Amino acid sequence: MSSKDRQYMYLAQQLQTLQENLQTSREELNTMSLQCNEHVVNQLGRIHTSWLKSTNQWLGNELSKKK
Amino acid sequence: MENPYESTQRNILSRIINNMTRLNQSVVTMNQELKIINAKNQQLCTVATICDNYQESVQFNLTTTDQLKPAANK
Repeated sequence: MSSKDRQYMYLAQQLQTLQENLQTSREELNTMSLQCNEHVVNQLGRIHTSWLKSTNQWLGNELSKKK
Repeated sequence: MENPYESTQRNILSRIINNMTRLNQSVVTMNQELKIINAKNQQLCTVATICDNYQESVQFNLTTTDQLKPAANK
């Protein structure tokens, strides 16, 4: 086996490893996307926005009562 | 007769392999960091679920005690 063949074999092995690593990255990023969309935006974002709006409305009412 | 470009090709191949190894190491590092971030985000998901449950409890209590007021359209 020539040195070039050995290099090609090593390169093929590296490419295989890279494919596996990129597959892992894809799974991790999918998990992250799901977590962000479902929990951070749809739950935390929605609830905190509604709390902020309702608090603002309540404070506005209290201030107008005092005046 | 030996290929005159043999040496150049070997050098280029060697550089490609070197860069591929470095790329692999970087991707492995990125995967480790992503795993850590996801584990931390899991705690955020728990907080989000707790807030959601709290919101539903408040909604239910206000509805059953007839204290729920319609949202203002400002």
